[in-house]
Amino acid sequence: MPRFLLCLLLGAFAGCTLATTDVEPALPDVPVFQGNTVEYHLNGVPVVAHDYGQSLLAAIFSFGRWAKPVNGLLYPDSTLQINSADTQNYESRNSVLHGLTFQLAHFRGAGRYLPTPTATTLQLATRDAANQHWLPGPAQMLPTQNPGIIEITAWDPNTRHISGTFALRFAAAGNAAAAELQDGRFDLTLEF
Amino acid sequence: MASHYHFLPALLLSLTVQAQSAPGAPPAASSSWQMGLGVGNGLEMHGGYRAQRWVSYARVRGKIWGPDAEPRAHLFGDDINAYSQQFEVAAGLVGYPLKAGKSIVIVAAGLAYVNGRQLGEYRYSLRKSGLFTSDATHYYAYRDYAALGLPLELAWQAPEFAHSSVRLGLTGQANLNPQHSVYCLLSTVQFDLARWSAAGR
Repeated sequence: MPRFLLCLLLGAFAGCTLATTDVEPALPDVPVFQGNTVEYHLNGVPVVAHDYGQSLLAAIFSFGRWAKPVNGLLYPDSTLQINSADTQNYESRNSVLHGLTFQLAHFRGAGRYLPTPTATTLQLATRDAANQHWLPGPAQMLPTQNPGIIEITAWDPNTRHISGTFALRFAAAGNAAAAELQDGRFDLTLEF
Repeated sequence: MASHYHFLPALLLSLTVQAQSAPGAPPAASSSWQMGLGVGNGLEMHGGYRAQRWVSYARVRGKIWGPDAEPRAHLFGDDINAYSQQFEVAAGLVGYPLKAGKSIVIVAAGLAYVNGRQLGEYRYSLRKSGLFTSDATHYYAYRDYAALGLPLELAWQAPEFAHSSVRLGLTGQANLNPQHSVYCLLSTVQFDLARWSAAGR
């Protein structure tokens, strides 16, 4: 009996944590499933937005009104705008939808660009109390200091396929805290 | 037929009294090296020495389970990138074999080193559309850990099976540790190493 009790006490007192490592899942390779993809770390947490297409039935019944969650536009005045929202995620009461729009002027192919301050926004949406609708938060703008940079690494005018990286910072607005977007990557086909 | 079940009321009344007041019963737990396997909501292997009045053995066990909250894996399509898991890499236990008729009940405790991964918050999904549904793979943040814990076991082993040294049984195993305590219910098969090898010759 003493031996049994000794082991019990030893185990109870020695029950301790030796080592822990908290790991965030890695960002996937772009493009995800060959679709338009924008992904980044928002304050260290991975955010992935990609076009996942739609099921055949949804395609038939949407009658072409389907909005792509990730899309890019190149305007005739060489303004490039890329929009993304991570709508493919599982929706629950505490889900957050990340809407990111960034724009750059005088697009001329591969190179480094500054984001346009007036048209580059981050907008987070949360679920309402009944978990029925999205409640859009305030639009966060670039700060006046160190807004970040967008780098186009590949551009093919024939296929309109574009890819690149970015790092952006957004100022706090309303109840939304300042956000730092790092390791940003995008890979998509621009629309006309 | 019913004689096999005589131990049950006796077990409920008093295990130790039954053990001491059955002089006619064959020595169910003679000193020997034992080994066994367990399968249930986990997978374990153990081996050790059983004497008349004490047992001492080591075990390894793994258990894998899905996330605590949605999104979980569903029948069609949905897939989880990672599961929570805990491996009892090394556990040493000391306990008592209580004879109940021809079957044995073992209670044991000890010290264990565990290695595990605990899924945390849901982060994102990668979704691919199918014909009618869309397949999603869900990604979670997780914590890798190593810890020392208290392994506990309450095992019941049936009478020896068909004049061999093999005993079928049921066991409840726990590992209490500050990271994630794990509870397993396993069906076991156990055999006597010496008699097993003798039978092989």
